[in-house]
Formats: sequence, C-alpha cells, structure tokens
Amino acid sequence: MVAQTASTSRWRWLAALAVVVSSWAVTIPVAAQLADGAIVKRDTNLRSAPAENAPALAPVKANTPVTRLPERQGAYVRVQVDNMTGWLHMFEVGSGAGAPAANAAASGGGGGNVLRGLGSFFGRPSSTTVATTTVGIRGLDANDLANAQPSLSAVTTAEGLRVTANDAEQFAAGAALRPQPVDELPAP
Amino acid sequence: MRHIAVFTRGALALGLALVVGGVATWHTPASGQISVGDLLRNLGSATGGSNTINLPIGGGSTRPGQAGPMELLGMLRQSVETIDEPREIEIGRQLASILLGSKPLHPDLRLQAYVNRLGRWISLQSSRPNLPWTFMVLDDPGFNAFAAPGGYVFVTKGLIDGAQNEAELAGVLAHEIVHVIEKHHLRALAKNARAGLAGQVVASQLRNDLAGNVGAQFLSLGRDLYARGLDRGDEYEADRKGVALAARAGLDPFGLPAVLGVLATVRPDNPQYTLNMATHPPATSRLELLEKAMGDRLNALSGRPVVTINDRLTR
Repeated sequence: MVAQTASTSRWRWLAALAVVVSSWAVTIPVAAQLADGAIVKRDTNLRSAPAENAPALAPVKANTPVTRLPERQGAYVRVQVDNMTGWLHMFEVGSGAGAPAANAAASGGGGGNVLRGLGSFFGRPSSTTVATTTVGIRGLDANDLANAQPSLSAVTTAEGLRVTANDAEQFAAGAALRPQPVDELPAP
Repeated sequence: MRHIAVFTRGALALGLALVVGGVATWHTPASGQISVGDLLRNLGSATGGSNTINLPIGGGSTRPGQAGPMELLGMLRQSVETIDEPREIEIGRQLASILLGSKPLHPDLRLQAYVNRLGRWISLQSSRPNLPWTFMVLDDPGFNAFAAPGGYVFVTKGLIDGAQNEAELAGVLAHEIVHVIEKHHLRALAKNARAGLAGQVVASQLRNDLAGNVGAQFLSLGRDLYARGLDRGDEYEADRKGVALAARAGLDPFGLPAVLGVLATVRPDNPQYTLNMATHPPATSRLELLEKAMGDRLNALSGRPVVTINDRLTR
C-alpha cells in the first residue's frame, strides 16, 4: 500500500513537473515576443514569402505584438506573430520604444575573416540568445578618434586600391546592375 | 616622423585653406587681389624647417606668422563654395588620415576591391561621377560608415558582416556618397572653424606658431566631427537621396531602410553600435521619414533576386 502510494505520487509529481516545464517552454517565447516591443502598424496579411504577390498566411490586426526574426529580403522581414512565422513588409512593422536587441546585425561581427559572417549572409537565424552576441565586440569610438595618429600613408595605400569607372561598369554588367531612372524623393 | 611632418604641412595648408576660405575674392587695400595660391606658395617656401610663415596680409605689409584678427574673421565668413575641388579633396585626404589612424585598412584585398567596385558604380550614377572616389573597409568590428570630402567613403568590417545582402551595403554606401555630394562635412567643418577659430583669435595673441596652431586646430575639428556627427538634417537628407541613388544604380531601394530597421532594434548599451548611435538621429525617426518620402514610389524596383556579399566574394 505504501509502495503503491509512493509510486503513484512520484508519477503524479513527474507529470506535474512536465506540465510546469512545458508551460515554461510556451511562455518564455511569448514573453520574449511581448518584451521585443515591436508591433504591426496596420491591419495586414502575414505572407508566406518575401514578395508582394506571395500568398497570405493569415490576417494580422494593427497593434499585434510581433517579433522580428533575423532574416530580411528586399522590403520584407521575417517575423513571428500570433504564434505563426511569416513575412511582413518592413514598413508594416513598428519598433516599440526600448525594444531589446534583435541583434540580427551583430551575428557576424568581429575578426578579420569574411567567412565568419556566413550565417548572416545566408539569412539563417543568428544565435537565438540576445546576450552572447554583444559581449566583447567594441567598435571604433570617440577615444580611438581622439588618440588616432593620422596616417597619410594608409590613405595613399587606399587610393592605390581604387577602381576605374570602367572597372565599375564591367562589374555592374557582370552583376546585371543597370541604371534606372529614379526621381529624387520629396523632402518633408 | 616624416609622415608626421608631411601631415603637419598638409594640415597647415588645409587649416589655412579653411581659415581663408574665399581669399581668392578678397582684396587688400595696397597690394590688390591675393589668391590662395599666393598663400600656399608662401607656405611652401617657409616650411623648410621654420615654423613661421609670411602672409601678405593687411595693407600689403608682411609680418612673419601674424594676421590681424579682423582679417581672419572676415575670411572665415566666405562660403564653402569658394573651396575648389583640389582643396576639397586635400581636406578629405587629411580627414581620411584620421580615420585610418584610428583603425587600419582591412587586409582582405578581395573585399576592398568589391566595395570599391560597388561603390564606384553607385558614384557613377551621382551628380559628381568624376571625383576620385575611394572606398575603404576599416578593420573594425563595430557597425559604422564614414565619409570625407572629395570622395573618401568608409565602411567597417562589422558593417560588412552585418549586411545581409548587397543591397543593404549599397544603401549605406549611397548614403555616404550623398554626404560627399552635398558637402555636408565641408560645411560642418567650415561652420565649426568659424565658431572655434574666431574664439581662439579673440581670446589670445597669435604667436609665431600660427602655423602649428592652425594645423592642430584643423585636426581637432576633424576628430570632433567624426565623434559628434553631422546635423540630423544632413543625415535625413543623406537617407532620402541615398535611397534614390542606390535605386538609380539598380540596387533594391529597401537596402538602407532594412539597415535602419535593424538599428532601430539595437540595445542602447550595445558596444558594437555605440559610435553609430551617438552620431546619428534615432533610427526610428530616420525610418519614419524615409517611409513618408518613399511611400510606394519605389516598390516596383524592389523584389530582385537577393545577392549576398559572400556570393560576390566567392564567385
């Protein structure tokens, strides 16, 4: 009798623990979403792909909290909203005041090796934790500027790395970049 | 040491160029028109070890190393338009030497070549395609970009790594190119030179070390400018015109807005973005204004196949 009670209560305890843990697993991302502070600015549709004509996944109402994911493509950003993942036009997403770092841009920072930034180049999510990407990466700051020993020789070296207009045109041709007629945008 | 001497001479020449501004149009009562060329020639002959210069200023008389405060103040009110292109480029060169003194050029030559090709292509679509445009990647993990007069444009390695595609890098380059086209840094320097130098002249006697004073003053104007940034109106203008310029070059116009969208979510204490955040208006404001300016005008130019920087480098 004692053994049976103990075994039952142990399983009950484990079940309760499992429920608690799984509810944490659900609430943590939700809490992160709310803490991000970004919202959808107007009634719109969550899209399945980063394009204007992409099929809509679901309607999303204005002021719905949204979490920006690291991937971006053209005018679209990948987001998590209402427990779905999809794409929104970047002008449809408003940053709330004091939004913590999404750190998409910080994913590849540091070091002299181009390959270290591959994760962000291919649009894969950067590390999912916010804290690790910021520690230790300190960029050029006002002190560096104040203490700089000006280097004209470095400028000369840089000038030696210039390319000609012709080089640039060849690059553009190879890259299928063609000049487009675009008017200036209106000033406010 | 030799480089420092060259720099001092150059900074001195520049400092004087800034100080005298439109001397080309300034007349002295006795000796008639004086050109900046005259001043620079004097400079050249006087710097063989001496730190005094003979300026033919004030009634045609020559007094080593001294200029009356009122004449200097008068010169400083000349407009930036009187700084000709060679002098503009030399000013930029000296400012560039400060930035390259802060962080070195990144050693990846393929990366430098790519940024030069992309940047030069964008500059070809601007109103000053024939400046000696020079693009540089600084070996710095911070996320930042800079420009100097005459066509010097910088991005950090941290920005390269943070750009998810070519259009985002292009948007930043176009923004910096607009700063050069619109002479934002030149105007800011001239404005600050007027404020600072006027104060210096009024507050103290000019010693024979005018040359040294002017050179050091120019240097500190430059450092200060990069540490504090331009006026927000200049930044908004560079955003608005930069988006159009990148689009003119065939890039997706949403590159710069995408970068601003990321900046808008950066934590204020993130050290990778410290200088960028200190020297620009809030990204949310920049995005709001850009959105108003863009509307859906440029949507048709968006949605091209995405090319990453790595695609270009490994092709």
